[in-house]
Amino acid sequence: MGPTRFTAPARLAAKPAAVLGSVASTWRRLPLKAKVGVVILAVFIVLAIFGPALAPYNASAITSQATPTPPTIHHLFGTDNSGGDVLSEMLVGIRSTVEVGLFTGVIATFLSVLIGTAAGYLGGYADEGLSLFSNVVLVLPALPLLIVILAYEPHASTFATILALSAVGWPWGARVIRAQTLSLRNRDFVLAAREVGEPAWRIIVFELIPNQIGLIAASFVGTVLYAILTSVALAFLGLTNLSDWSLGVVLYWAQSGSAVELGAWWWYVFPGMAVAILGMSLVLINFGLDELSNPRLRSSATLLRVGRRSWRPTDPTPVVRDYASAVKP
Amino acid sequence: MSTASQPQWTAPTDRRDRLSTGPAGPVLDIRGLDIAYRSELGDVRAVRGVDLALHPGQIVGLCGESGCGKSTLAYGAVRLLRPPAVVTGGSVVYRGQRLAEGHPDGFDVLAASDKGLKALRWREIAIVFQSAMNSLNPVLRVEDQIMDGIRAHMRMGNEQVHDRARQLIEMVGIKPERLRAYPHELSGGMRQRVMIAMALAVDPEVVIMDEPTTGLDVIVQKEILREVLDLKVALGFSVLFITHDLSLLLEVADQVVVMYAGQVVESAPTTEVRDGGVHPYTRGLLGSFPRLRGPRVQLTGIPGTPPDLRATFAGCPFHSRCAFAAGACLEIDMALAQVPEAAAGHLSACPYVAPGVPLPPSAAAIDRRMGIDADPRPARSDLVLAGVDLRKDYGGRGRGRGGVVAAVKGVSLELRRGRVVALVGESGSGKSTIAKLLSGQERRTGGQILLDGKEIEPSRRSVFRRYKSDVQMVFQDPFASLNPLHTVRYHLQRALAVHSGRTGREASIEEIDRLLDQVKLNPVEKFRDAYPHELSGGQRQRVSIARALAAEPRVLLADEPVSMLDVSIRLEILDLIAELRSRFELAILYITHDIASARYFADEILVMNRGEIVERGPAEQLVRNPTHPYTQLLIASSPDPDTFAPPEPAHAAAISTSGLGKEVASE
Amino acid sequence: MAFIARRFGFYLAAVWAAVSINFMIPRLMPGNAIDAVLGKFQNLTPAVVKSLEAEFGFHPKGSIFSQYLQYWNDVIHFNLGVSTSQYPTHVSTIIGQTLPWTLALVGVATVLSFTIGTSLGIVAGWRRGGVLDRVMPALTLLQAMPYFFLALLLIYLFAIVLGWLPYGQGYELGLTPGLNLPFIGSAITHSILPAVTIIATSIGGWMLQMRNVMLTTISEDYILVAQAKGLSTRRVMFTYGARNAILPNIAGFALSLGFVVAGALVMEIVFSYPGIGLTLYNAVTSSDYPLTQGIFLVISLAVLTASLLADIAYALADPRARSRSAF
Repeated sequence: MGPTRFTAPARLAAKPAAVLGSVASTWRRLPLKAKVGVVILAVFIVLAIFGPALAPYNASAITSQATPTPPTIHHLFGTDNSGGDVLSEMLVGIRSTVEVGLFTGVIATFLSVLIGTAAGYLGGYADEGLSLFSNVVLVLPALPLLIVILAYEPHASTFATILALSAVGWPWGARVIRAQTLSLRNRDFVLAAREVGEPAWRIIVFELIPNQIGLIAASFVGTVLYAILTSVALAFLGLTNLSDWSLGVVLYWAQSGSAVELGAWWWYVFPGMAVAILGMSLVLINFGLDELSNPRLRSSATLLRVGRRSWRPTDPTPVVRDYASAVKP
Repeated sequence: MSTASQPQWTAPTDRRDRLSTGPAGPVLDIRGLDIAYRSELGDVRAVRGVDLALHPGQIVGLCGESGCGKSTLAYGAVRLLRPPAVVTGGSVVYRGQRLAEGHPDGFDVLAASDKGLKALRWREIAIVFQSAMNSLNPVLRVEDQIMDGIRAHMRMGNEQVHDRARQLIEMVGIKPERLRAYPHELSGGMRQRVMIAMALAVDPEVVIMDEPTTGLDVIVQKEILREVLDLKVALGFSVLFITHDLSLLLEVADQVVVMYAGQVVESAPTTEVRDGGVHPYTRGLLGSFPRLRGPRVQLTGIPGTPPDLRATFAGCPFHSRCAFAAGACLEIDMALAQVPEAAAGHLSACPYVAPGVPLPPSAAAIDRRMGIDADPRPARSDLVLAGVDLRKDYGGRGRGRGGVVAAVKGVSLELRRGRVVALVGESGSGKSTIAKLLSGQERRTGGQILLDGKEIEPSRRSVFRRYKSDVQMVFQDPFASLNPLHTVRYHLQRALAVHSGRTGREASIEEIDRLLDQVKLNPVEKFRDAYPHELSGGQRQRVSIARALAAEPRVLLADEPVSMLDVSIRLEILDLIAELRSRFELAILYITHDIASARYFADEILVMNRGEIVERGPAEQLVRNPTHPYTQLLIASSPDPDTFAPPEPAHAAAISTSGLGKEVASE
Repeated sequence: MAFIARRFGFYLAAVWAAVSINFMIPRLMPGNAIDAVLGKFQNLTPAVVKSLEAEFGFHPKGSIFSQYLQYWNDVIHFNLGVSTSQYPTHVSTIIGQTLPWTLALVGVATVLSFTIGTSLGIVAGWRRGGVLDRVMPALTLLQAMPYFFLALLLIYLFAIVLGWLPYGQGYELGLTPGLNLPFIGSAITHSILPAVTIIATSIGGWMLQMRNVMLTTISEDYILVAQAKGLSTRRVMFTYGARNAILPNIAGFALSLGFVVAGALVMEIVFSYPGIGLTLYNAVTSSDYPLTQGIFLVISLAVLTASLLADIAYALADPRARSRSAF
């Protein structure tokens, strides 16, 4: 087919650079959305590192004050019902939230790659068994399961939370990676590597995994998002360690302090927005990764090139007579 | 089923008076058509000022290699291309005569509205698409897909629409019961027949066929082509037939149009092309096909690769690959002109080469060792690898229905030093399974594999790596057999490193260069650090061969090593393998569906059908005097311009019907 | 059909896993849950302890295997023990009272969200560069917002500041639950904000997925064929495009239900909606282990049943499903 024939080389051309090329070239090809996402995420990571040092007040300080006060010049995000500075609580809390997200992302993605690649590459009974296992874990409702587990271990440490989140957070990625491994496994270059005499581990590490970097990255970002939202939800329910500040814990105190009924919007809007913006940055990054791996999802540039703003698949091929003047270099 | 001979449906109620009015102007007239794909890296000007006229009842064959713009031209002419494709100039007129008279069934296609195009498409110009698997909607029954085309263009009662669908499907030799089937339940050949039935559903004036038989086996291909010709005679439509296979066109087309780099280089009545053509490119293409009859001759092929279509060409885009090239070639304007002393309507873009001037052998062709007759080995040279009574069953475990399928049923073959054995068969014949068994990728169900007379179990893990230093494999698809993330150097280095693990020798850069030089990837510095996507298909296949050579094997298993390449490239690769065979005294198993290339390339041919060898013998002898009916059918079905006989409709129909009966029964 | 049979086998395995996990959690977790429960009662004689243990569904006597069998026996008879926080109500009774609220709210909202999101995704994918295609990223960002945070915002805005809608509980106190108009009306107005929360946070995901698959689908050859046939735009878009593109979305629906339910549970807590999520929360905070476990079991079974239904829908929608492997 004419049209696809010309897009194919471009896609192949994109591949080596995406994985082996410099970070800079990847960054350049990243869609704008993803760049915004990366910048926001970077800000959060910086806050996670330096936040506690930047906090203007002691987050856990308790004063005699009994009602929350709205934002002032002294307390930019207002105070809670015991006089605590919401901004300081957040600055301290971001660390734990980001930590849970990233560490869960790393552990769960590692499990995903391990189980997904093993199932896809080994095939046969190993595949059947591992797939069944992943799918069972996937369909079991994760949050209720976590709630039940944490019910027996109330106020679990951050570490325990990370482990629990990882334990239920890997199957989605494993499923996707297994499917990709399956399709790669019978590609000729994998057979050829076997033909050369490469051992299985080299085939997995040097042939299969580098070809799935995009997928693994997307799975990582998705898992981090899941971990952040779930850990915030668990903290909000008071099921994690409440003496350790996190964004979810701030929200928990707001909820239990009847912030909504009191009209103390600053108490929950600021931490809530922080979670939302952090999550948004991850969604944006995944948008970008999607478009990078599937150029079909990118449209506007193509359309502008042919002088259209919007387009339906059934529209006839445009006819542009004054070619030279219409071409924008 | 007998309806194939006399399409007996009644014409649709509102059928127009076909061909009855006015002088016989072209039904589809394309003039100066320009089509470009917009991109940041420069526009790809895929079609450049193409003229093409399709006259009523004619079959015009449009031919050229991948990327020459033939499909873009056809889809652009009905405005089915999507952004970033843009029509940038020219005109496409359907039934210009009627348009001029103001009739509603004439169209200026480039000016037509969406609504106008909906009326034009299918009703007037229908298309048979290339890949029948992807061209049918997987979730709709076949009948719904035939009927919705009818309903969109004709006012007919439900009953009538059903009747017509039944007629159509019978007309292409499929039982009406299969109308209830979903596409995935049909074989490739049947799906393509369904596509043809669909295209003829509303009795169109023009049918565009885009590689309608590519990917089908030759026997099915022959049957379908016969049907198309019969139907054309019976129904009187015109065909624009697009293919990369010039020899196929010589069998079916009235007029042949050859495209190169977005331009038409030659347009001629088929007989003229059959006699040799004029344009050097056409002649290069003709010289690229191994023949089934006549003497085994050294073929020329076409050296080099097509130009980048983003560029603006000065003069003739072919000149860099042309054996006649001269300085003046850079100044010609590529306008088609009547060839002197040729039949009327024989046009060529090359003003310098006259018909009959012999094609000078290109430098590359002289340099190349002959594919055939090069250092012929005695038939009884040393036996290296042998398969004895090989068997392979698939399935059995855990599959409820179907059970065991025997893919290979007791095949024996012998590979000797310096000799090429060709294993010829259609898809599903089990020929690739043999390659997998011999290479150790799969475990056989029965039989023996003997290396130097000793039994060996190559699929065993402990044996496999040692075995690989003797037996290597070249894969079919050069686009898939190299990892897109690794350089050429990495691929060869790994092969050398693994091999040196066996021999204790160091894998050095000189070794890599030596390998590249052996497969003629010169200068080696240019290719060493290239990524696969920077190479052409032919170059990748050379890398693939170099990788196999790294292990210094004695046996090379080549599974369809050229079938994914353009015809002009195929010869170079086959000749390269032939040369390596002479140089290293390799024993080669050449697996192919193309018996003509087996005749060109191999010393011995084994013909395989349904898991068994049905005939074997010295290549030349087997092709000249096939004894088994299957071999005879295979040879008779292979496109061969040398033995052209225009199919007699009635006669052809009889054959076709019996052939169909067999196919339907077997599927 | 082989496909359905295989899927059914898979769900049996999943049910087995859910029940087994439920059996194992209290036995693996540190601390003796039974003691914690019994600690709530003073001065118990051993006989009473024994009877209470039986009532709560604990069977600490005997080998772990016989406990396991006994547990299965209880589950099959829907004998989930007695709640400790609402002693002596049976766990199954409590679940029976609260589950309908959740099923109605979450079920309706999820189906609405899926239907609307998928439809919008079809349009967004079809009309590239159109309004929906451009607005969609913003809608998708709602995914990143915690359910409960959106719930808090909605309550503040619509219930407290504007006072348009009620929140808290499932209906106005003082009304008699049953088939009477005031009750039904009240139940509906009370469910609007929770439902909006569910729809707003999940719709973007369905839409994005549908749009992306739609984009892949429209570059299939069969769409081009449909177009070449001169079919109406509507038929090309729906019967050829959306009809195929929706298949992965249906398959995804089965797998994503767990996520959807998770969000809905937390949302219930914010709204004090008398469903199973709030009950679970209360059970957890009051260390009512029998109730906690019973609810987890029921949620698991509900999600698995819904997934099975989605799979059956998939098999009906895709004629190729029969010949495909089950995973």
